[in-house]
Amino acid sequence: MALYAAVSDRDVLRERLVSAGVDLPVELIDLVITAGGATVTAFDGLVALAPSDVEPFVPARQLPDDAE
Amino acid sequence: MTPLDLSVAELAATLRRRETSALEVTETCLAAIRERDGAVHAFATVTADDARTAAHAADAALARGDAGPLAGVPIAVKDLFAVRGVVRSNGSAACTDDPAAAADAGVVARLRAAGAVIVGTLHMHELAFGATGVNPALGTPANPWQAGRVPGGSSSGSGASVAARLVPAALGSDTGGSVRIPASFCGVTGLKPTYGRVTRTGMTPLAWSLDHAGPLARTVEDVALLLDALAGHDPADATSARVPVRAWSRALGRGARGVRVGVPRAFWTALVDDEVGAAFESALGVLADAGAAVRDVSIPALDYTSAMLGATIMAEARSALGPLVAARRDRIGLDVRVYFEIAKVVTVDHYLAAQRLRTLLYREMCAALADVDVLATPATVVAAPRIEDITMRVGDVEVGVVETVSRLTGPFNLTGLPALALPCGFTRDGRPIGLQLVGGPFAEDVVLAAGHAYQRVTDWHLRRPPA
Repeated sequence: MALYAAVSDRDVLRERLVSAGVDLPVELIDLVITAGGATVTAFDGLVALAPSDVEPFVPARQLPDDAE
Repeated sequence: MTPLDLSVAELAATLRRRETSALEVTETCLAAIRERDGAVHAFATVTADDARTAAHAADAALARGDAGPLAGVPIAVKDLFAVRGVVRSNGSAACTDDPAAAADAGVVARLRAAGAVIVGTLHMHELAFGATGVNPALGTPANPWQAGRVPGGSSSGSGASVAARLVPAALGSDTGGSVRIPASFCGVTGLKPTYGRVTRTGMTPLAWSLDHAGPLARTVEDVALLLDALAGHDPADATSARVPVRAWSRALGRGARGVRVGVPRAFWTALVDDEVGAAFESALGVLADAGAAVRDVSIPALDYTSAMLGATIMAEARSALGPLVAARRDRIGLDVRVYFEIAKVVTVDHYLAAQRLRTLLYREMCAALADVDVLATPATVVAAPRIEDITMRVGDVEVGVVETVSRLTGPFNLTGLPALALPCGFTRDGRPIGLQLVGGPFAEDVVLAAGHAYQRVTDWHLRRPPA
């Protein structure tokens, strides 16, 4: 637990950006890390929540099928 | 009293009775824009000559007796819809030098076919990627109710122009709430129709599975009149639904008696401003007094909608607009550039997880809507924030403005269900508060009838901003 807690949202995002080969403009580095840290952690949470046996949503198919 | 004080329905009826002419109405509208838009800053382009030509044609049709239902009614459209002969800036300095559009967007063509007079294009949040309407490069439209407050976005000019009575109606687009948020903040009525109900051809995309086009006006009856003209299958749009259309404006009179209203209380009460919450509870009371049956419903997947919406928008926007942003980076605003950088770390796993959870959310909403006719929430967590605010206090919590503003609207982009925002009160300092009503797939008739029933017994939608 202690090890996990030491890795902040911002550190996670920093690592992801490096892994993705993103070369941030200097003026954006702080803004992106600040704004995006919690965001990416929340996206990771979706992966843990989503059941793998449920079809992805396709609105153009689903909604007309359900229209009365 | 000028023609611009009339609703769309009243104005169209006045024109049909030949008590005024389309040209007179158009000149009144152009004069209002000329005299007052310097303060409102809603218009990106004013198409005065084309509007006069369209007004002459509307007058001729009215004289012949074969005019369309919107003949002579001035309407402006968000600057991401193609308007023949006009540069589509998409709210971005990166697009202001683009060539003018050679043809109208599908919605613009449909409005013209119904006789509407297109008077111009309206400012917006850059690339529609934001819910406040703050646009440092091309200007932020004023909130007509209170200086220094955001108009809401991304259809900022659409909300501001209708509230300021520069036009009786406008078109916007809605990816996470971009019709309903400016409607709520500016005290007007806005409809996000069901996904697939209204064509998106000629509309700059942000996120293909979330984007909707929809009308803003002062009354529910008016947005129904516009929907009458806008709806219907378009073979040029692969997402356009082949479902029956109807004259929604003629199906509004059923009243609130017996309407079953479901309230996802755990969701909206988790984060809401006190004054907004009180106004919403009062609105539920009004509906109950009018004969509606109001009860709470449970939709647990709503708890995850912020992340679902974020992952979906970022992935799809990167696909749709990433090349443009990369090629014209120097002319893109800082906030949008930040979003597109963050979007680079959205993975396939994130995106597919969001889509799977959307299926669960859709099932839960449809299950709730099997027992009620409409869902109701406040339209937004807060009334219009200050332009300069990055964070704000809601109750005891300090939250980010951007992610909070679309909290209550975004879930219905994720599911594609029809959602209406309409005024339901004011804060003590005079900012409008919005009510949101949501129906099942393609059940615009139910949503609009419930909203119309509410407006028949309230006058929030009739109030006008200070001069």
